[in-house]
Amino acid sequence: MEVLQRAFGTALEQGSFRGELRLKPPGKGPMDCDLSMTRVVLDGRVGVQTTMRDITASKAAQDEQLRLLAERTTLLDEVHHRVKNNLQVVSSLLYLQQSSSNDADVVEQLQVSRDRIAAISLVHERLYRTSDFGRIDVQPFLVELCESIRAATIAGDRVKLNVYGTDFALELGEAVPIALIVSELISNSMKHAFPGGRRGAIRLWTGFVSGGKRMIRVSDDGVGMRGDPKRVGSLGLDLVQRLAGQISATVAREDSVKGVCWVLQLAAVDIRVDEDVQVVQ
Amino acid sequence: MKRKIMIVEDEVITAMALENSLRKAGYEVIGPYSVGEGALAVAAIQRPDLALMDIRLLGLTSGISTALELRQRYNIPSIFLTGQDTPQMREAAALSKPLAYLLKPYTDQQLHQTIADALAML
Repeated sequence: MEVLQRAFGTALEQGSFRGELRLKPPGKGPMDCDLSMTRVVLDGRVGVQTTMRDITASKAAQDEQLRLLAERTTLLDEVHHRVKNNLQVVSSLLYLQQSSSNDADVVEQLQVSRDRIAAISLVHERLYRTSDFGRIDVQPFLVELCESIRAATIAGDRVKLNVYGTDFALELGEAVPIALIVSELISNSMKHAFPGGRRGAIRLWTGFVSGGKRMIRVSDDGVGMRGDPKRVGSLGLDLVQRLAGQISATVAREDSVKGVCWVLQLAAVDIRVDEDVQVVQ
Repeated sequence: MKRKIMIVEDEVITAMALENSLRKAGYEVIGPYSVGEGALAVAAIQRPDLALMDIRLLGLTSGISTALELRQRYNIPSIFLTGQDTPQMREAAALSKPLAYLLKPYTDQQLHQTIADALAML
């Protein structure tokens, strides 16, 4: 009972003591106690009033909660690790197919698919690194996406990529579709806007428009799109339209003096009202 | 003379793609090995210029300890391949003085740039 003696001493000297203590009653399991001691003076004699409360059950519950949390974090790490490993395997499979083909068109098509997988991978990379697993900031995310596309494209040296505007958050479910849409639009510009070694720029603007809607604009200063946009790079633009639909966004081509401009309008961000707050009529 | 690169990676498809890509780029490839023990035995004879090392390996020895052995016994440096980049991992891996970390999934360009930069440091 050395602990109790020390607590007693502290209470006498300083007036009070508060702490936790584990008792081992004979024939029973250990018992966690909340210990509270206060110095009292009664009839001119000094004493210590002691209260002990059994907190074994609540302490066990708390420990269990911490253990579960740690376990969950480890599992989440493990899942992220596996997702990234599997994406690497998928990309490797396409690479192997690519390198066993002598057909330039097949090689090109497979490369497009690998670029799309790279865009998805980037989302997982960011999700894993962010402390808040539920959301992604659009600006740094787009900067990184541009970097990865530039590195993978031959035209990357001739075409500048700029990200500007206001930052906003993307919801978890929006991230992959948006990565694919933007990657598709940039690739499209890279491929068609700057023929014959032309130099130019692709600009990505993010910000809010009326009604709190978030917007991403992708524009280039290239040669422009000839004919019906739906016919150009058909699968890519079909993907863009459908992915936009999946996240209740709209995507449209806007008139521009030079080059091509795409506007992706996302849903307004939910403004969550605290349910405890009563609205007074 | 061709530079020798050892691959230690237990995900066979990833390893196969690595091997293919490195050979195409003109490197001599040693491996791939899926366990550290095998890699160490061969490294003693073949003496690669560097090793591409998956951090998490099957078998008794992890990528980190295999890299450490390669460094201490034969002064062969590693580039770590990993799907997970945490301060704890970096701290554990730093002992073997790796030349670089390549985060999965990586692109071809990233792979070749990282290797070229690492070889230039030797």
